Amino acid sequence: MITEKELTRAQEAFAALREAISGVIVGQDRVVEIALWTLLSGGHLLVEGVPGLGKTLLVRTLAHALGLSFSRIQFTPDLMPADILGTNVFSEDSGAFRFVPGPIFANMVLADEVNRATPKTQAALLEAMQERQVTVGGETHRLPEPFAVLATQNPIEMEGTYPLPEAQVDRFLFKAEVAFPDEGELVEIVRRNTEGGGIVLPDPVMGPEDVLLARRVVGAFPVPEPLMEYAARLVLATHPGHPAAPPKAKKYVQYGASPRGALALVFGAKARAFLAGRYHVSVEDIRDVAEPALIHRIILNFRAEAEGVTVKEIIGEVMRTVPPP
Amino acid sequence: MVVLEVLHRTLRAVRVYGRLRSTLRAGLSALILGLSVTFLLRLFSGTAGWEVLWVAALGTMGGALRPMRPERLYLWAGRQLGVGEGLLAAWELSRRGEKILLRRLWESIASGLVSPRRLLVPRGIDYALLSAALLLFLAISLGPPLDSAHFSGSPTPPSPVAFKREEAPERGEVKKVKEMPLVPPEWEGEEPLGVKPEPQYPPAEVPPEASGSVPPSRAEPAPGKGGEPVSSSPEVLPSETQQGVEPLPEEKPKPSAAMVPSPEEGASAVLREAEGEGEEAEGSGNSFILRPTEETELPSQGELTESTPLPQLQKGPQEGTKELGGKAEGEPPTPGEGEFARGAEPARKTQAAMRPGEGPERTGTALSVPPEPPGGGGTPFIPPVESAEFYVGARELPPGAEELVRRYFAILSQEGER
Repeated sequence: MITEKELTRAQEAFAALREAISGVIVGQDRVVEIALWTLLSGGHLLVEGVPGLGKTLLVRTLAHALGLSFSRIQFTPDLMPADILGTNVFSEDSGAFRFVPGPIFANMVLADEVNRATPKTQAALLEAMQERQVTVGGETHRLPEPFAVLATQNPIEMEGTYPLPEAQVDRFLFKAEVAFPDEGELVEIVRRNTEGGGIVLPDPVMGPEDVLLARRVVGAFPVPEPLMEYAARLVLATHPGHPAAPPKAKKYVQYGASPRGALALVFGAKARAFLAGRYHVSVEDIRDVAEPALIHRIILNFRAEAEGVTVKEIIGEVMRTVPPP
Repeated sequence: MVVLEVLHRTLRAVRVYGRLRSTLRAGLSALILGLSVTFLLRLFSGTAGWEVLWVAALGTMGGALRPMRPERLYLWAGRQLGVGEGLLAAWELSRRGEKILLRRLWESIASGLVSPRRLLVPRGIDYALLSAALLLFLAISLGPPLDSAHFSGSPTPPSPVAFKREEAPERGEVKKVKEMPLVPPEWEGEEPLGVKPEPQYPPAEVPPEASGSVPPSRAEPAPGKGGEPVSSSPEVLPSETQQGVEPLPEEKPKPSAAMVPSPEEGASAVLREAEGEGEEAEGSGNSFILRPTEETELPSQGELTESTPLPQLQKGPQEGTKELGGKAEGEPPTPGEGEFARGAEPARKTQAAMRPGEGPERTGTALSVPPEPPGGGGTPFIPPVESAEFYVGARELPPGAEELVRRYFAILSQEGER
């Protein structure tokens, strides 16, 4: 049970965080919002967008403002698992092997262009993401809390890439698509980077314990049974074999969303309500979270690719056909 | 704490008003169902009273006994009261005991929460249901009225057919009616024989049971007796009565007056039936059969002879006096005057009265021993010996045959006395 003081502290910390981020990141409100949902839910975020849209800057700003340790891993085809996880190094002083942690041992990890690494390295990262621990040389090492991986993908450069398998994509709680800034936002980006001393990362406004506290508060938010059922119905409707699936899903979907999709819906809805200053989850929260929670979990068939049908259209159809409680 | 008390009071009020509303809604829906059933039954069978509306009471009880689930109730009520899912979340937090969150939640939604009494305010669907109920009520009320039995909810009264069966004449009475002689006693010895008056049934004197006002359900024919009332069927009459009543031939079912839809047609049917029976009796046994149907009031006591006034037979000529050519009441028609005209009855083919010995049937039957009625319990009609002269004079008999006829009647007379 949370106390009045904890509740107030969590709310004030995240209000300050949003203000700090908006001072650095121009536009991209939706991506920032989804990143905060991810942080509050204890999940990981897959960010997709063309180069130069500020994905790395966003993650760095977030880490700085949160006062969390931050590390960046640039994924390349020759990157090995040990380069991420760490390795045992023989110490002449002690005459024994000593574990040297890799860059994954940080509160916030930016896995830049995660689809450029080989599947073996990707698997090592994703296993660490799921288990929140690393086993090297028969020894298990816990990852720090809070722990969040924000991986980026370049959707246009597919040459020499290794797209993440569906099972591994499913490990990301949300997927955010970074849109290109409009003219006003672009002017502001140019101004901030070219005038004065350039971009200055914000000072920490909260610590790791505040993030954990906020997670506890969000976890206490009630999600009544009808809303849970609604989230479950939304996920089931993405399956082409389910009776509640709309015709478009039956026609173009090969695999529907996994149960992690329903978890993402509820986690995201709670976080959204918290960030909105409410104390209860609404149907609108679930509907708003549905796209980032399900978009990377629905696999279309060849017919959909041939006809240019997107996952967003399928999700939109599902939202229209599944009645809210 | 005060905030939480207010919250709990509000939740209780929402529960009460929500339950009341669901009860009213269920009652209204059941009322519409009952009215619809009543309307359809009246439309197609005309036999539905207001008793079907008990369904509404049952529906109301069902709505009261089976309220909405709390999750659904608070979700619905929160939306009706302007706080969305807040009320449901408050109920959920109250269950979990999250007092801090609950108080914050209540503080955030209390300002937008309207009184729970608003739950009883009718909405669009309620107006639609009320309109439907009103329309159905008007449609039923302005429709054709039913029998009083249907309105009072009492069971259907016994049909006149069954009533008549209980008052069926005794064996002796039926027998006397059946054995009404072809030649009335006061006409005996008269020569030539006048036109036999046919029983008249003016339409105005037809009993109401015989008109078309009888419900169709009462006029349903008995199985295997197409169109014949149940009371006239020998299978359902007492055995004594069956002995005196001859069943109609099955290949020629007689139309019953009880089946015609209008009073005029009913009267005509009565006339046709009575006349047909008379004709049939003339051809088969020198008497006509008076069937104890619901149209014919038979006396329950005393002997029914020709002098016994039958209502229909007595009143017929009174109204038909003008059509009888100005003859006084009771005055026998003279031969050659033709048929009687019948009031409002349409023109139809009638059989002219025949004098004795004119038709082959009458000739054959008159000169033979009358058959005994079925069962053997009756006394055959024995013509008096004086009738011999009637037959001898009315027919040109070969020489020597006159004496034979006289002897025949003498033997019959002796047999009758014995």
